[in-house]
Amino acid sequence: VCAQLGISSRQHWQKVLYKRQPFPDNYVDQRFLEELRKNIHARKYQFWAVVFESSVVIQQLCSVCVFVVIWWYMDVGLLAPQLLFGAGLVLSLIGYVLFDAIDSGVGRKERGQTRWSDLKSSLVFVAFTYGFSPVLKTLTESVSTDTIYAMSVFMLLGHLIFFDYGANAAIVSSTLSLNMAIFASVCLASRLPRSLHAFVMVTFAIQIFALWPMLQKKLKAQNPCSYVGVTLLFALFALVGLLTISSVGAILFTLLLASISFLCPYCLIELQLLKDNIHGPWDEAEIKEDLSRFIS
Amino acid sequence: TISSIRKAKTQAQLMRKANIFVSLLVDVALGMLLMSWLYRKNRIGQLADTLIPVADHVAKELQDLLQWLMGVPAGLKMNRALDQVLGRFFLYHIHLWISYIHLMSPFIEMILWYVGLSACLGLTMALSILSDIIALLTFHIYCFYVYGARLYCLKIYGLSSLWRLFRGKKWNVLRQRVDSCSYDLDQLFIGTLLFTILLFLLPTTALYYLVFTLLRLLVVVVQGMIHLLVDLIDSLPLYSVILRLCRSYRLAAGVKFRVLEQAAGKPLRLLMQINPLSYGSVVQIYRLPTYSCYPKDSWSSLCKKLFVGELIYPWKHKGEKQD
Repeated sequence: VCAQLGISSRQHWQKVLYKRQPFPDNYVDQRFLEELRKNIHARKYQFWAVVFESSVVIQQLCSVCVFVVIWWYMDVGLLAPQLLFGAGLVLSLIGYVLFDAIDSGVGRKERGQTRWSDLKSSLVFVAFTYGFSPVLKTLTESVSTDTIYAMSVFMLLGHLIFFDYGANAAIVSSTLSLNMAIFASVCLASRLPRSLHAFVMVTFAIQIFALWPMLQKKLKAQNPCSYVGVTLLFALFALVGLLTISSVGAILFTLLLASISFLCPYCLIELQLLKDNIHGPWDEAEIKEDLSRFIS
Repeated sequence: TISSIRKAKTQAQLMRKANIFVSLLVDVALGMLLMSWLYRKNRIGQLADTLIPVADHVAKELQDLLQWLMGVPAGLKMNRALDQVLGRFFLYHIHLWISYIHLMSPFIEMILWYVGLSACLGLTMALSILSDIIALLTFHIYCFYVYGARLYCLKIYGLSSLWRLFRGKKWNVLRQRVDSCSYDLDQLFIGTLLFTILLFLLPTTALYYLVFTLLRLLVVVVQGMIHLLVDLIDSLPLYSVILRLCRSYRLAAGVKFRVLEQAAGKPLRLLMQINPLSYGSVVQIYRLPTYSCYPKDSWSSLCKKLFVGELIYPWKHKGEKQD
């Protein structure tokens, strides 16, 4: 091409379209792809930091496991509902005191909720659930057991998927996950022998799916060491409970926990080396400044 | 106007006056015929005697239907507690209705005798009164339909609102759209509990609603057919049809020419004859405007109303104000 152009090749090629240049339209010079950048947004992960963050997922899996184990015990008749209710009450009180101690009053002032309103809402829960427990008991009499189990499994899976683990993704919806967990607990509770069992089951579900994650989130933010300890104890408790029901299940559950805790962070860090994102001036423009000052 | 004494100015007015007069005459004549047939041989008394057993029979059929619903209808499994409550409620209503009928039974014959006198005003009058009597006798079906529809409508409304709460959204009344909303913990809990309860009780309520809606639609269809018959009798232009039969040259659609003789040198002679209207166009042109009733909703909006549980008033009368 240069030989053909002769004297005009002394002109420099400019990357503009409004000038008539003696070069063909698809001509590129040696500065081609100079502005290509690779992997500029890649993050460097630390192994133990990722393992620490994965403990949130571990906690939720153990919550679901503990819930199912307790339900199984109540179904078989080995656990008395009064015992569960008393234990749940005592643990909730301890957790409440702990929450306040860790919080040291900051978050409460922000939200503007007093102890009296907390007591009122918990009384409303208990009264409502106790009043509706006979209805809940007979709700699924005519539905077959297999359907109930399938629905509960589906709902608990949905609870795990939509839970707010701290990631900023569009699929996260803490409302939906909590509602699915309560739906699953109502389905399972309606299979228990008497309405008192149903009442205690639903109250326990609220404690373990709504109150426990709140406490853990606060603990993780303020006191990471004790958080790790609590996670390990909780996982151990869930495993022991599952072991008494079925050893195969316990082994599978241990494998699941281990893979999520250790295998997945390892894979994440290894796969970072294979990342191949290219960036350049052809990317979509991102508006980074706050445009609300243009809207009067 | 129709009722003015002066002679009609145009042919259309003349035909209309004549049609109405003849229709009225035929109507009254048929009514008199019906009345004479009714009052002979004490038929009114026989009618009154069979009315009470028929009402009893209908009530008994309804009771059987409710017992069937309270059991295992068509193999569907219902929620037993709600089933029993609804079934007993409706059975008590039927019991009240039967007591009412038995209370009225001494007076039925006299009422029927006086009502039958009105047949002398025309057959259409008798048919309209029959339609009203049917409406009165199936009043309990109407009541059941309203109860069932209201319950179902409330349930569907509650379910749709709580389903939005389940997903974490809310209906924005100002903007008429669904927005996301952050609920409190106690609102979420009670909302989900109620959602579960309503969802599992839906098949039972839906079945009751379906059964009573079908019954109500049956009654409505019967009433509609009677109204259609009345409409037909009213609007048929009998005078015009008889005129077309006897003196067809009075109703002309045009003229036709026939060649009489065609000889060379002589002028052409044609015969003009009147081409009368066909019977179909006679009826169509001279149809009388009547107080007719026709369906208010199209099929799609009717189906939508049935699905949501809104009360249905399917017939609209011409001239009625729309709300």
